[in-house]
Amino acid sequence: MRYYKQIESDYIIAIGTGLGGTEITEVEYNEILTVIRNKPQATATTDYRLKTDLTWEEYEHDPDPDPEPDAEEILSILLGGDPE
Amino acid sequence: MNQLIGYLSEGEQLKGSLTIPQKIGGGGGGTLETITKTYTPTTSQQTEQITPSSGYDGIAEVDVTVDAMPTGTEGTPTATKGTVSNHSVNVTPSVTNVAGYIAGGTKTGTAVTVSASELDSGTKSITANGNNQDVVGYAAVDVAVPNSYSAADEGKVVDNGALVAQTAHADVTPTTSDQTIDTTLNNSLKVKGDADLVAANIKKDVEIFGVTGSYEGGGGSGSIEHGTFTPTERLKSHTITTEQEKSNFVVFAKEGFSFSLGTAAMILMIYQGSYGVGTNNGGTSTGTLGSGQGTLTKSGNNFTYEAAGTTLGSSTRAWQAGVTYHWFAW
Repeated sequence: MRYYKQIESDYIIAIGTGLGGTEITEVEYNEILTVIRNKPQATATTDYRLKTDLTWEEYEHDPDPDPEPDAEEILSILLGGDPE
Repeated sequence: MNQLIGYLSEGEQLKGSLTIPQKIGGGGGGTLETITKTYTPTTSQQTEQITPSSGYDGIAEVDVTVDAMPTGTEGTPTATKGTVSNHSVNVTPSVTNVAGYIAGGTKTGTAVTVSASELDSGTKSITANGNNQDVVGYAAVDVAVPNSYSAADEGKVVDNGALVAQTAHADVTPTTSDQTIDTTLNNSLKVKGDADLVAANIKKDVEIFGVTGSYEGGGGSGSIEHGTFTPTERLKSHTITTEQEKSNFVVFAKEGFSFSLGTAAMILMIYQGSYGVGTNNGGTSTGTLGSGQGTLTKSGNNFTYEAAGTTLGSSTRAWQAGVTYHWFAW
């Protein structure tokens, strides 16, 4: 299995399996995944970005206006309807 | 005249008788000896005193005989070579060792006697062929060296008995079985390579020439590719890349998502064709997920979902940080 990390401007924005990004080892993948799983708690106006040295950098962002869809919305999506 | 001469002391009377011996040559009495002597002449003077033998009163005669002197001419003796007849002589062999002719090593110091079995004999002719050859037991060995070589012959090979340079070249294309290439006349071999011999092109866990495959797709319609991604921060857009271009479906599912639990989860399903959310627009597909959701586009092997909204903060249904999304494409 191929593991990769996706970097933009000295920040790791995602990791994944499959094609894309910069290939990394499974060990590094798991190391980064552990760091992601222990991400500091974001607030309504601040969040954290992961630097390439695997440290978190806090930044401010706009409030998230949209919660995750619930199950009914998802079913509506699956059936081609408008979840809104 | 006979004469008696003597002396008597005073008063001493002469007694006995007196015999007057016969006068030598005078016809008187006495026993005389005739002596015969023979002499051989030598180069030295010979002197001998001759006296009468016992019982003789004197010597009547001495006969001297001198052997005749050898005749010849004084000077260097000469001799005449004669003919020597053949003779039979019994000889006991006594052999002084000459190194190399007596088997069993060198015998030095004194004459030695050897038996026939100890002697090397005969001549052996051999031709140099690069191998050791046993020459024990032969008195002489003739070695024939068939060819001689020079620096100019470096790298040449023997072909049908002739020394020739290697000039041919062979290409070797790997096949499903081993190939043995005759390199006699080949000065180079090229084993072909192929840039497609990479893990991504080989079925997962299949090894070809030391390259273990990682490709898990089926390679055609109906095969499903799978991948994951985990944003470290909230993302407005994300693109996944499939190994082969897919034309029909892509599904994104949040890890741990369950319909039955009704938990808040994000799942996007794009079905191009018959149903709703996806349309096909000549190789680039755009699906409208619904008001405020976002769009899914397809370009070649890439599927990109971008949440609606002009900024990340205004976007709904953006990719969530720390969530692992699985995607399936076919």
